[in-house]
Amino acid sequence: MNKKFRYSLNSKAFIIGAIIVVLLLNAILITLNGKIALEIDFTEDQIFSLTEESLNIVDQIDKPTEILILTMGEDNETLSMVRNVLENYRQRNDKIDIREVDVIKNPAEVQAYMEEIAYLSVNSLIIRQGDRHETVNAKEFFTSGEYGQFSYVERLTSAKLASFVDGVNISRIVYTTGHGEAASSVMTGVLERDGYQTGQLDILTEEFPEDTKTVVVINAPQQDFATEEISKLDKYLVQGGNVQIYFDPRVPALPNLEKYLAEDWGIIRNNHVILDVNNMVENELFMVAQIGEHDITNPLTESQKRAGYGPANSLSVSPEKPATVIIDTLLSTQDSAYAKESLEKMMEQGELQKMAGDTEGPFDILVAATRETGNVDYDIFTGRLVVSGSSYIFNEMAQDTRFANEDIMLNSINWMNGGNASLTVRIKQLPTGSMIVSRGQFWMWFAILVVVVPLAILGAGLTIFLKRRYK
Amino acid sequence: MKAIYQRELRAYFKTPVGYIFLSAYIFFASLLFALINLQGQNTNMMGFFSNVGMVFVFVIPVLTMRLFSEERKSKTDQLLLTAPVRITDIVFGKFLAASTVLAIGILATMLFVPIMELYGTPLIAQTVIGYLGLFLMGLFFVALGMFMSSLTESQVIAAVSTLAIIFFLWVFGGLSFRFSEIITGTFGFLGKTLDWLMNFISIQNRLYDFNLGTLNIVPVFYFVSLAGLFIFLTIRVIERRRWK
Amino acid sequence: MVEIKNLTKKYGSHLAVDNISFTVKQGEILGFLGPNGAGKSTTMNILTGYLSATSGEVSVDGFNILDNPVEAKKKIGYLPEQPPLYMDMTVREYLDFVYDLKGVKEERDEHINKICETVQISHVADRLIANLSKGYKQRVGLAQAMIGNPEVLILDEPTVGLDPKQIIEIRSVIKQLGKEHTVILSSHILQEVNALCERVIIINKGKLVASDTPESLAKSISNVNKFQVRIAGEERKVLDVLEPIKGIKYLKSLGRKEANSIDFILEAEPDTDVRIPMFYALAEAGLPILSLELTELSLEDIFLEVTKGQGGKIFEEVDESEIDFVNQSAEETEESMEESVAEAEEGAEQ
Repeated sequence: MNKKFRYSLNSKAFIIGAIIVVLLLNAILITLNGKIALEIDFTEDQIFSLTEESLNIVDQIDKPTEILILTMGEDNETLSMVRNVLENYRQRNDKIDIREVDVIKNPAEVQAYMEEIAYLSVNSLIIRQGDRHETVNAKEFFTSGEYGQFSYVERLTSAKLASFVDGVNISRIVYTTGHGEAASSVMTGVLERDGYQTGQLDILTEEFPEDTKTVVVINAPQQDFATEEISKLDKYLVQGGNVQIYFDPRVPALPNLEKYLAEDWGIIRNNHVILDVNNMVENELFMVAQIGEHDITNPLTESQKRAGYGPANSLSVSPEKPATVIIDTLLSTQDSAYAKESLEKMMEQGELQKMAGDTEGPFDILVAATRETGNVDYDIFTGRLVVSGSSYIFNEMAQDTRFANEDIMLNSINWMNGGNASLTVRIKQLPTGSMIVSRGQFWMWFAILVVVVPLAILGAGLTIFLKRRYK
Repeated sequence: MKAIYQRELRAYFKTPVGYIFLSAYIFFASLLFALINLQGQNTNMMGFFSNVGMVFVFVIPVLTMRLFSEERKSKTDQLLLTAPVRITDIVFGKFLAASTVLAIGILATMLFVPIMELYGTPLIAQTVIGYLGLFLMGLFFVALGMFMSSLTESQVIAAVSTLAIIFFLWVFGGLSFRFSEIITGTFGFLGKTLDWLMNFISIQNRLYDFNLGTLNIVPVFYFVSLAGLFIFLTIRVIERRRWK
Repeated sequence: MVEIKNLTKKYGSHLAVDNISFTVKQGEILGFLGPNGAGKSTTMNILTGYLSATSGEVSVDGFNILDNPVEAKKKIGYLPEQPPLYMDMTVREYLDFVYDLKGVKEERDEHINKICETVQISHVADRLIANLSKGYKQRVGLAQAMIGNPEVLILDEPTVGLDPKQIIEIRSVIKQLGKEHTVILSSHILQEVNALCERVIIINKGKLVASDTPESLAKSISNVNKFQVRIAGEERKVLDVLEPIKGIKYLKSLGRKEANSIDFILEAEPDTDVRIPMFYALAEAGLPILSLELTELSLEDIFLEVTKGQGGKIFEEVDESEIDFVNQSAEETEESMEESVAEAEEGAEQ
């Protein structure tokens, strides 16, 4: 028997059979990859798992909800990625069902949404609950980030799912006009994609909104505010309003606005220009900031992403800050930062490096403040204010996936809305985990790792070889 | 098995082979680490991992070429095969010895993590998974190299054929990794089949999952099963030679 | 102790070993005699489990080499034709490895040291095997086979390629070993087998030709009737003296090898000793004998002798192929010569 077994183990048929079995199993697994959950996520930020925010929304879905994936009968990478993401939703809540609809074979199935489908690309989603529905356009999946697609699909899906959940209010963000404010389409694009409504507000002619779900953004004003505009602004904040002010470091002084901030909120804008060439990212004029501790920034410290800033004014706290105001630093510079007297002076010198006469850092560049006010009925309102010494932080840099700035912006809006039941699913990227290595340190390690260690090993080998050779 | 494992492991370090392997691997790995991570000021080792795989293509044959070729050439296989040990033990002993040297190399380059710790925050879990992927891929290469070595008496032929096969898998599969959409778009159904095939044999696609920091059962099974297959084939080759 | 039944090994269509059966008793020293390429090494490789037989069975101490390879191999120590040495190890490292490989239970240092003393390699224990002379390499190979005190020692051409002094030393070691072990020894030199073995098996072209004790084998070839003689004097004169002597069947001059002397090859009729009449005849003629030595019989000669039916147990097949047998074995010798030349060239290339 033993011998027979040996012979059969040695037969060609058995060997070929073993090869085929291994290849076949691998072929099956590779084909299944992406269609069923076969992996454990060990990434720092668990980028391939749903975020807390998503889960919060998913958990609140209490009626049968169907997500249709529109396909053209073909398999492709995006489809498998979308499946992969949606599978997480189904696993979390059995009220959610996922179905793929081949729009060419089964046009009847999507007859009701014909109008919208005309604008949707392949792999888009239709989410329906009862007779309500929302769509997610697959074009948006590719807006940015090489490894962030999972996150984008998740974010968009969760945002639309949220509209089926009671109690998650969609916020409005309005931009003031009339003072040469920057019209940042980048920023509004990001916000709209995430389910926010955006609008404009001419403070001179229009009234501030009554509700506290609106965030008023003053983005890089070039001219000062009139006194009556300031008092409207203050009135809004007294009611518990939300305001974000981003200063443009190129604009010299805005006396009324700055006076209001200094006196009523204790926040002083210092009109110099902060630079930090030692902490520039890839030789662009973007520098790495230090992230402070606050509800807005705490999620970031876990995700290891860097926050960046461009040339900025610094902000400081006035010694005469009203007691009702609490100010927290969100972003500050590294210790190596310094400030040039003004942009013109800097241009004149033609020098970015630190020079004698420059003010030494570190500086605060982004702060969040709350102020409590009461009315005659002893009701207490909390006005929330975010002030940025650089408009770059939330404009150009908000779309730069190397930085967490977009997250900070969205988190600050969440925070202004009371912080809970947040609508925004934070975009997660494979973390780039920053590290500061000076030239000197680089060359030291280069010499040790690339030269000394390999040569030492080779030398040891040669010594032993020669020693033994003549034994 | 222990005796063969020990002899083989000592042989690596009493001849220049082990030192050449370690020094070449550490040299290239360090070069990549220095240029990608230290110079890029970046503790994410994804870029490192996807490039260091290519180094394996060239250094693993050094590790495996002599495993069985030399035994046959110097007739020492007569000692092993007439000793009271099973062929399975002989093959595993040799495989484990080569894998140990490989592991030493990988562990040495894992010291990059504490170096990054000095200047920033390394992404430890993700990086460890990346190294794990590298090791599993290395096991597959070692098994393949050992198999090639069992087929021939010439170390040179064993090394070159191993290199050629791994290089082919790496490059051909790599095409799918980079040009998948173009291929399927241009050649229709045939292109799709080709793309599937390329994805199927692509080592880079398998390694990529690890690099992302996810432990996926598909690539783990791919590397482990193929390593197992080539160990099995090596045993069969030696067994069958006795019957010739 | 060792039992071989109907062993056959084919390489493709070539029959390397053809239906061989024999047994070796415990404590016996068996000589395995045959010309190069006769199938000696193949048989030994099958015996030790290095090769598998096409058909037939081998068992060692009751353990079948195929069914119970590990148990059977534990009983065997094998020295192949080319000692299986790792050139990059020292002698001691190598023996330590073999000790571990065989899973020997005895106390390590004591055991290895004893073996080193027996084969006299203690003083080279720390040298690299690659740097040893051929004789020492052969001894290390022998030491390797002895490790673990296996009951059966199988030695394939243990003296081939050694110089005479080394041959004598190795032979004495083997003789020593034969006292405690069952030894199977292959050789293509009759004298070696004669000197060492209690029983001889002759194999040619994969077939068993004869199986006998060396005594009867020696008897069959003991009729010392072919020798070489050197005689001082002129060739003509010598021939004149020798030719009339009765019993000389064949006489041939080999020419001058030493000043003032001639060498002759001389063959006598069977069962006749011509040396005494030759001595007196030459002495009378004043032609002194400078040397007289028996010509070494080639293996072919022995086969001829054996197969003539004088004392040996003869197999039928041999009788049938008797005539062209010598020619063939000569061809084979040539073949194996070519092989060894080719090998030498190969070696030189490296």
